[in-house]
Amino acid sequence: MNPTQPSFLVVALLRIVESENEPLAGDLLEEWRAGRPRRWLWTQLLRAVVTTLRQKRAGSAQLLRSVPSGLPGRQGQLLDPATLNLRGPRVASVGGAGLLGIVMVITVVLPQAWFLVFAGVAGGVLIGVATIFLRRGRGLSGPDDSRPLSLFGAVELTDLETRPQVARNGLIRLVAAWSD
Amino acid sequence: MPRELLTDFELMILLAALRVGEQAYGVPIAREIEKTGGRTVALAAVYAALDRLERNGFVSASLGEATPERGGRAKKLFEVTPQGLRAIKQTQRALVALWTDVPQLKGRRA
Repeated sequence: MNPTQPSFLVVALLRIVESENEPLAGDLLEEWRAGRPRRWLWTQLLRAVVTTLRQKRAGSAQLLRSVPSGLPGRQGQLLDPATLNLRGPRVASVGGAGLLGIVMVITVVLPQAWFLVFAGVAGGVLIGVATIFLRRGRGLSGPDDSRPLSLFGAVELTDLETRPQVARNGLIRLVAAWSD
Repeated sequence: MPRELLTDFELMILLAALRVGEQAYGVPIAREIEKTGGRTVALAAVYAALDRLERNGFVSASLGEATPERGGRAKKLFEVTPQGLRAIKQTQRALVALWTDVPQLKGRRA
């Protein structure tokens, strides 16, 4: 017999499964309490979460396909409803079970690696802020409607300036701005 | 018109449900497959297959009791329909027909 109360993480994952398939969540809990090992529970639970997220995604796509006509996109063209994400910024949209798996592996196997993750995030934020600062200083306007909405897509390349040169020049400007 | 031939996993699930009998839900069906088929199965895969079988009319489902061991969650009991039985027999016939007269398999035990 396993303990009566599963861990917080197990309960959270069971709730995800339960949202689509209540009997499956009940079965997993019943089997675990009957004495199945922890490894069995985690394997089954992760597969159940993946299946649940797939079912939710398939359900959303089916709902969108039932709309008689597509939604208008940029420049008047119709977007394929199956490619739209109308569900908002949920975990499934940023990686879902895969992201959760990566977080668990890092936490269990090499918790020190979180330092690198946070350093990467901090570095990204720093580069972003510095880029905004530099572009403001140069008085550049943002991208117009005819170009993709990408931060680096706004950099104009001249005949004399290649992309590596742009990167180098940007770095020189960044260092110069800091030294001022 | 729904298809009548089953995949190997669907066939195993239907046969396991028949062996379990009235109290056929995810856990005993998965245990039956593990016991007789010698393979570990994911409960999520069992339910995905059962949902598919239900949509095709091969099984019918009803809600069972909710027990404390299940955290108050109800069981989903499955019963093989006459159409499901017909599909099992058709699949068996198709497999036997494929099986017979294969020279490589003659005189060998499985």
